[in-house]
Amino acid sequence: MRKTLLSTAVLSLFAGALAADDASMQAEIDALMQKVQKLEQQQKRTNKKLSQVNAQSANDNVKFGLDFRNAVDVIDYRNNDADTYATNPSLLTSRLYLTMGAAPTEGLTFQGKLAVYSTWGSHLYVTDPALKDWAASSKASDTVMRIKEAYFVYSDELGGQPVSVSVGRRPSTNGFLANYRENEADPGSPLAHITNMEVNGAMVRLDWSRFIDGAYTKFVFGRAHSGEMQDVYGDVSGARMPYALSGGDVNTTLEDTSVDFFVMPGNAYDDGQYHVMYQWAHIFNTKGMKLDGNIPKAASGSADLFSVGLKVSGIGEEISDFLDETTLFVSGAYTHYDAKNGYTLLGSADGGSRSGSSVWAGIIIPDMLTERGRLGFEYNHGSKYWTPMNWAEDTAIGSKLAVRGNAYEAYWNFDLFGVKYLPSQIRYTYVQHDYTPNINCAGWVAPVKTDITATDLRLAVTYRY
Amino acid sequence: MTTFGKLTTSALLGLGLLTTSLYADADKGQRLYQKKLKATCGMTGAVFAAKHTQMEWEEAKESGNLAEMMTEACPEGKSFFESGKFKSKFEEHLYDFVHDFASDSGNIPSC
Repeated sequence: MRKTLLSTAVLSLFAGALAADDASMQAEIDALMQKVQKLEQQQKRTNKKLSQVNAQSANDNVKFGLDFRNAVDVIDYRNNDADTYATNPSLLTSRLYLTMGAAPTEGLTFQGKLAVYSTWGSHLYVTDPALKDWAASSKASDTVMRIKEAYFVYSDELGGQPVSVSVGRRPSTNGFLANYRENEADPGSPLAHITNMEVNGAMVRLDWSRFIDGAYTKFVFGRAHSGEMQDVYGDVSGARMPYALSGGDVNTTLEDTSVDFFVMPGNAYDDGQYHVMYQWAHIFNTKGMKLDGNIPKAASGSADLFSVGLKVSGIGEEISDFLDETTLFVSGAYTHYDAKNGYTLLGSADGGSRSGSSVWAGIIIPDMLTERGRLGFEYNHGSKYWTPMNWAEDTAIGSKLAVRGNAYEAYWNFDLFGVKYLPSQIRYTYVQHDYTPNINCAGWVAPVKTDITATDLRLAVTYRY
Repeated sequence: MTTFGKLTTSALLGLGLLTTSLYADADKGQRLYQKKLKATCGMTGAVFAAKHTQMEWEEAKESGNLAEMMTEACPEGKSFFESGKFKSKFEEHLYDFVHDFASDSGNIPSC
């Protein structure tokens, strides 16, 4: 009995002690839980704040990027008819793009690109005739910083239809398919086969992707050339220009009037593997020859340019890594120049027309040596009157896409030292001109049979971030 | 080719081969999304990536829950996110892509 009482007393003591321990432990757990909850709340607040700071630092201000390329071009021209040649063993150039972007609110963005593209040891300011506004930052010249792109885009929906509008200096160079040879991941806006120029314009974009994968159409109206100005104050120094021509913008003695264009580029289909793009461009008052007085650069008629391109990103469906990473493309294009009565275009008859065509094919494959390196091979063929608007194309020997003859190109795009911020390129371009090259706005020049070869070996290293 | 050209080519060829680091590729991730998920998910890659903040995508990746988080953002893509190929071939690239275009990334879509 005594033993039982003792045992009961001991057990009671233990139970009491355990109960006391449980209570204190529970209290501790509760306190810890409260602390954890507080910490979780703090963490949530910190994360939220950090996201706001992230968004604010990038969204509410202009975000800058850099693209700084240094290149050496080894150039060789040979006129096989005249048995003459010209070479440049080392054209050294530096190109700096300062890119800008801002998105102050949803649906409204700004994009800009300031550019310096200079030859080493260049003049401070170059005014060569070839250095027009349409190629100002795409051709190596001086050390002046110019605006290559500056535009804003506003996107909204109208009755369920996505719509974007944009005004400014357009991303109209290195467009669809040309971005591979330029070692750029994203193409510019137009189809490079017929349009590769720096231009200003206003754009409306309608998205059709509700109906067809990736489909959209852009409607762009812009100006590619402004007519000359004349002094109406009798000031012979020409210091006071009124932004106007006597007699208006047409039928002046100078005949150098503004050139406007309407362009309609778009995606016909894009599912990520198969991508079809199209473009129609209509140029009002393109430059040609006025027969009365043989005045060149006259507003001589219109031009229409068409192009359709297919890009295949990845051959088959996961057959092999090599085929998955292979890109194929082919593009066809057609140009038609139509002169007014009393004028000629590209050597046409009075009021006649000239048509030309071109094909462009390419393949880009993994280099099998480096992680992201790619080898590219391209071929171009253009007919006698093939005349696209490609004067800002960044090939030191002139546009190879505009070749009236054949062009072959091979390039290796790789990351120097394996650093993705140092994209680099070795590129070799061979161009055989069978007819007068289309190297500038020169609709008054009739293409004639030639035999000129031009080659360009470019080695380029870029810092891009 | 001139000596200068030859020397420069040789130098670049040599340096270009010094590519030892492996890394994921956001551009490839974007292409993968467009090719394999855009139609299934019914939204653009930018909208998909903006479903979460950079930190949320990071946490999911670190804790091994990226597939679950992506499935949450796009339920129709469940079988893709749970496939073996997602883990072995696509995850790194898709992660780089969604991280680059997360809601607080500040990255701005082009024209």
